[in-house]
Amino acid sequence: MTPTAEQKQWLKDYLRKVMMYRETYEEVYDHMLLAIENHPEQQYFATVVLDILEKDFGGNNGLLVLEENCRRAVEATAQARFRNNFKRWFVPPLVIVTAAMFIGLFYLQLPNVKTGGALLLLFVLLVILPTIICSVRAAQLGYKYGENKTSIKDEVFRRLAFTSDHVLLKFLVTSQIAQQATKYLFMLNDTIGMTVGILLTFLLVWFAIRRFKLNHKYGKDKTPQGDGLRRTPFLWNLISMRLFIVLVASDLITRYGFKQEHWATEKFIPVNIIYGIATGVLVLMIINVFAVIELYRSEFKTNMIIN
Amino acid sequence: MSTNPLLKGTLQTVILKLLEDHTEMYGYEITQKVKEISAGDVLLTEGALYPALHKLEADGFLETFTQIVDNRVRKYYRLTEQGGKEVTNKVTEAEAFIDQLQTLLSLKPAVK
Repeated sequence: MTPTAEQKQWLKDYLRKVMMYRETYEEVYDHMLLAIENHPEQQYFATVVLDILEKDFGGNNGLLVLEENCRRAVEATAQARFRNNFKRWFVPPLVIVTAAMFIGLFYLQLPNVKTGGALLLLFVLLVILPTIICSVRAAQLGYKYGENKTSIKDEVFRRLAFTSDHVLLKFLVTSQIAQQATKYLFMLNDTIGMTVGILLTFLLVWFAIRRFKLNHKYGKDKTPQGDGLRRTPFLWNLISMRLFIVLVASDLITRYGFKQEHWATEKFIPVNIIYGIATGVLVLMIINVFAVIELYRSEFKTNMIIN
Repeated sequence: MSTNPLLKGTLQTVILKLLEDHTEMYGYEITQKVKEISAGDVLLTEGALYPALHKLEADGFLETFTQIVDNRVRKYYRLTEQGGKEVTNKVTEAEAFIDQLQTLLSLKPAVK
């Protein structure tokens, strides 16, 4: 049977509501139209659609399962590739570069070294680099926003690209909680101060958990519905987590960063351990960015790009 | 893949072999070709086909290109160089498996 323009539009609207990703939406739409066109004329359009949907895809739920399986297939491969890119920095010859980075960054935190804001600049760069990489990738692919749904590959890439930000955020929030806890639990001697300190710590923990949950939920809601695509990734990232990270980091650096007694020192072991961990996180973030860039480059080599 | 669960593990091999024989195909075309070759005995379910195609593409065995047909996007798949080599491996694996099965079940060799 030959579907009319209205029937095609109806099918399009229906699939747009059900399907989450561009690749699967386009393929299923084309597949269903071909199946309809090859179907005998005698039946009603809706009956034919339901029949094809049920027989070929296992109904409405079948479409969702199909999409989820497609997403998992792409994600598993991308993650494996990303992990390999990441691991390369911990085996020879690149492990030498990793060690040099660690030593260099730790050295920059010693009290007699003047960084001239290099650490802050590096930090800001690491925060905004995933946004830049994703934006460049989108621009290079000729990505069009508006009516388009997001691609599975876009979502997988975005998730991997922002791993470092999430790690950093967790680290910063945890360190903030630890600092606040230390401040209120050990510096205030009276019972009221102690109670306030405990309550504040709980409040911070609750805030951190809620923040992560909201981010997780919103991140999930944004992509499947396709609504988030109407904003550019840069703006979206700027108004969501990135700004928060920069604010917390600026606060930390302003309050503690430039005071002599808080810099790493060879004399006080606990401080060195804390700065060692911080340097490690920073090195991991840098490696993460390199791994993302490598993934971005390999994507083009193997034609993994969206069409 | 089909009503026969024994064929489930060979989906990727079937897809790769079809694409080796037909150069470029789209999803619906693959299902119809399988149906045609098997005279309707093997029915490829779309729920299994598309994830397999996406997996093969992500693994670098397939590459895609699109064409606008009747105002809609049609996605074609074709083998990459790596995919071309993989077909040989997969077919060899499948042949070895069939041989082993014949030995184990004491089946008569297939008539050629």
